[in-house]
Amino acid sequence: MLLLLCCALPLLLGGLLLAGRALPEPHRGQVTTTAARLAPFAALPALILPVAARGGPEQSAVEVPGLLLGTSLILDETSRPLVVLTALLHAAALATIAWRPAPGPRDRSLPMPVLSAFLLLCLGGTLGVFLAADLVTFYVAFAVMSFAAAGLVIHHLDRAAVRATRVYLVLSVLSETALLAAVLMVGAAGGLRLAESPAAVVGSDHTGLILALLGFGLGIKAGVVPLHLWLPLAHPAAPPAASAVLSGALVTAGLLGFLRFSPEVAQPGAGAALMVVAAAGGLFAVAVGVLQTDPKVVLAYSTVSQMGLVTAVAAVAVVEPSLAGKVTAAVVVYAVHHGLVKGALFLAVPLLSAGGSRLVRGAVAAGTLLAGLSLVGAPLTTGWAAKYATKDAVAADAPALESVLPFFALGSALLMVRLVRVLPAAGARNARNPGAGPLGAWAVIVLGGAAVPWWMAASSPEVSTPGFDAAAVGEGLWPPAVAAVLSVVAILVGHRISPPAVPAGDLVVPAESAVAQATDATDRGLRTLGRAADSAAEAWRQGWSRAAAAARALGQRADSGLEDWIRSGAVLLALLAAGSLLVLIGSGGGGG
Amino acid sequence: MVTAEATLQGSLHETLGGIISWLPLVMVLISLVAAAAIFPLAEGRVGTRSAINITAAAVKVALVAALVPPVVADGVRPEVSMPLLPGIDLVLRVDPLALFFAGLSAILWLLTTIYAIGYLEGSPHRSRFFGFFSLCVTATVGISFSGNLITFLVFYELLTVATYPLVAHRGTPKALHAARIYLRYTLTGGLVLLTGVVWLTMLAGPVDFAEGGAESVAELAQASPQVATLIFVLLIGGLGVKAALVPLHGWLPLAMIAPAPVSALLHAVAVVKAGVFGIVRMVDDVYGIEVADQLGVLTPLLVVAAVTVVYGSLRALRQSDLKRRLAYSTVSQVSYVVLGISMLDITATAGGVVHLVHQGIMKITLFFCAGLFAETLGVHRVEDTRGLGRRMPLTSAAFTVGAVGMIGLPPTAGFISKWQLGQGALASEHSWVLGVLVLSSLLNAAYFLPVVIRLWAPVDAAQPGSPVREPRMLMVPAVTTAAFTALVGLGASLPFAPLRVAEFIAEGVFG
Repeated sequence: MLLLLCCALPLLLGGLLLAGRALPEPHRGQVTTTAARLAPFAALPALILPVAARGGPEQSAVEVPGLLLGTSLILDETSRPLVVLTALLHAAALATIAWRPAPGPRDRSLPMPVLSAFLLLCLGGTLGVFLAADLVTFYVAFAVMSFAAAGLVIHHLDRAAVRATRVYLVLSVLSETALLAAVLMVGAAGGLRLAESPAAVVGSDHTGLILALLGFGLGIKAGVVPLHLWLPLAHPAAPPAASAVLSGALVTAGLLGFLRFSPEVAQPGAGAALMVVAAAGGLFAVAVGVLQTDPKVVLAYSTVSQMGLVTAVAAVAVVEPSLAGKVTAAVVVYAVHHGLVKGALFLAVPLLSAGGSRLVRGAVAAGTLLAGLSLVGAPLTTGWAAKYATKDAVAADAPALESVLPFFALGSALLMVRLVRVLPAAGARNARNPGAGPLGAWAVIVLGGAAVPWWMAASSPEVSTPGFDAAAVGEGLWPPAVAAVLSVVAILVGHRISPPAVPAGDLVVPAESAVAQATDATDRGLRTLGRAADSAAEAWRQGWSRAAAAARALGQRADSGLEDWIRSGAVLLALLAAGSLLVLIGSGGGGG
Repeated sequence: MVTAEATLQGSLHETLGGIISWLPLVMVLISLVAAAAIFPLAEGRVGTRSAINITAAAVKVALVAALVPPVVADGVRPEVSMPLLPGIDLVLRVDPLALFFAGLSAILWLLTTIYAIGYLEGSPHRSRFFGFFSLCVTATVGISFSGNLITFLVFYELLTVATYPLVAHRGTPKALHAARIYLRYTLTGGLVLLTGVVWLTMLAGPVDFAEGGAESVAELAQASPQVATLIFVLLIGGLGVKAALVPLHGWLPLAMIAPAPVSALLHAVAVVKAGVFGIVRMVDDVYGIEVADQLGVLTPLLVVAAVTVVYGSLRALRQSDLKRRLAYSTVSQVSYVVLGISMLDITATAGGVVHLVHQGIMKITLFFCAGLFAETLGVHRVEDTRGLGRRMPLTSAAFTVGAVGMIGLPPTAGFISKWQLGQGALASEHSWVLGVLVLSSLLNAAYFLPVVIRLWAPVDAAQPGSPVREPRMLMVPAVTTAAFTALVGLGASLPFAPLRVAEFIAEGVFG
């Protein structure tokens, strides 16, 4: 019951908030604002659930046969931590925006209750993805999440937001379609329950196609390069609270898809391809990210990089399914760590420029520093534990990946240094987001980010935690140290070389022009098709008209010829005679 | 005492059974009587006319609802039969498929009536309009309850005649041109259908619709397969005109000139639906799916449907007139039904049959909304819809739901159809159909999402345009069907939900 409430409450409240917009003023404002202020509490069931449902399966599974094509939810060891992550992030985001002051006259943003509503729908959808026990529920929740998130991206309704939303929607439609095709094939192969899907992926006649479609569809959500195009556009365009949710929870839903469908029998080719693409893309994102000037774009590239890492780790289970348990546990720890830390950093962006008392500013700076260090993997932080867990999980079967992993820490460190460099300049620009919000919500995320993954890692038998020895500490220390040295060098020589300016969204710019060209070509093709069809129809029509005219002319001629005959009565007589003859023959035949 | 009670119950049962068996005739007569009452009414008697209209429509919805449990759950088949020609009876019979179509048309007719009353407020010739409107519904109910080929043919032709004045209603040269083309197409189609029906009746005797196919037709197919195939082509070709199968679809985009309630009628309730319903009847209840398969006519039909699905979507992409775009979308979407029934798979058949209803409620929502945009703000073109979300929020929201349904995104009705059809395609021998479905989804998104994005896009701050009052008579039906679109999807697995009934029908088809 609680399980159902987790997903249903946010979805219902979100729907009600949107429906409430139809009320006449002044009720509309009152009702929706009040509902939006209560919205953070919609995450409450999801926060209670992982603790409450520790009993048997009757507590952690639910079936609603009448809903859609039969809906079923289950809380398992994979989803339990992810539910906490999602609930925390959304609650914090909702609390942050709920207290935002009324928008100024020049602000065209959607009203706050609308943002709340989309956050709630996104929460319900994301929880549904994590808790789904069958394919249909998974797909439906995925779609709800994807399209609710479009409402987050478009929030400010400015040029950047509209462009980001367009790119996001195009990619989402492609992602959903690929996913639908894949899910249909998995279902047809007998994998309607998610627990049976890994076997069905292998058992299907179209294993290769399914893996390709899944890789494409989930890769878009998880932000795997080169399908990451929407991330660097959506994050700067969306409000920071929404970015926190996008970067913390939404991308993780894509990642979970990789874990859920990881085939039962080794697929070395597909697994290796995913691993190489994800890892290479993750490092590419660092290179692009350090050239950015907007702190939220830098953070977006950090997300792309981190998702590349963790997807590459998840790909190990595709290559070697026997490792699936260990890999999944490590990936989940990493995802929770990254989600909370990245959420804390996004929420910190407006706070850092919002001012306040010296104590508050100091606390914000300290918290941000902690989150930054954790992302880099400095000793004792959750990043340290998460990186150790992933390293340990892949060490045996993917030594090449293991040797690359530290460079992601270095990349993160470089991106954090870049973030510190661009933050002060960005203060004024972000002043239009005075959503300083309650520091409390942010503090919960920071502290949660510092504690929850540790607790998870410690309580899971599959995850190994680092001991406080020289090797492990050194592992955590060298990336930030090297990054610091590199940065000092860069600052010293930086004024002599001018780094290339890469627009946010890197490949999206050529992609957009390619799409525009393709659209033009298609348009021309369609115009030709339309003209051909119209002229064929016209010819057909004229043909009939001519035939009709000819028939009329013929009829007229025959008519005038016949007229004399008819008038003479001879025709009538002849007809009568013929009729009688027919009757006669008919009755004669009957008699004989 | 006990026996007396039993007798009483028995007689009560008998009386009820007696009443139920007359219901098909009653339902046909309701609309006919309404039509007869409306034609002579003076133009100004708005109240009386609306009362007759709405009462008739509401009674019919209630009767259909009353028929669902006995017909679907208890297997009762109410039937009325009367001689038409020597040896040929006019048969009205209620089976699940008939009820399915009648239920759709009854509910949507009620909503369309309300919409039409609001839409035509103050315009001339309303008695004529509503008279033919009711005749049109008489024909539709007759089509759905037809128990044999001849009855079907009679009502099918009546529908052609009754819709012509509606398409031509405005009387402008453009409307008359569209109506003439419409008549030319449908009469030709009717003639081809007539030829097929007459030929089949000559060879196999009067053909009764039967689950799994008529026996006499199966014998004919056994004896002379070429002739049976030829007759099948004639029947489907004739029905294909109304069902807007490419290349017989030309009349549909032209007919969008008609008033919005007529478009709703053409696209969702009656005409296109009658064509495709007829195809379902021919394949499943005249020939029977197995005989049709043995004749080898299903795969060609499947290919025609697939071509129609893709072609309609491709043409819709380039239409800048909103209603024309919707019209091409209908061409594409209605063929989902044909796609479903010709894949020779039980899941696919259920998916095709359920799409009869799903397409109806989604497309009627979109036409209601297009009519609202055109009536209140004079917006006809896609590019002019920018920013309407703020001026007409409820209409825009309803349009969004309808469009999302058309694309096939969850949790709408369209998703349920697409899922069924996809699963069916993979279970059948024609897994390539999945590719058609995927391509069609993408194309649907490509021509519907830009409209949705425009609706909600920010407008130029200099001229935001004030919110307008959305006329309630028009808005309520649109919002209702939009709600249906979502609810039918959400409750797809509940008892008596369209999907459940469609699955039941599909089971009957495959015996």
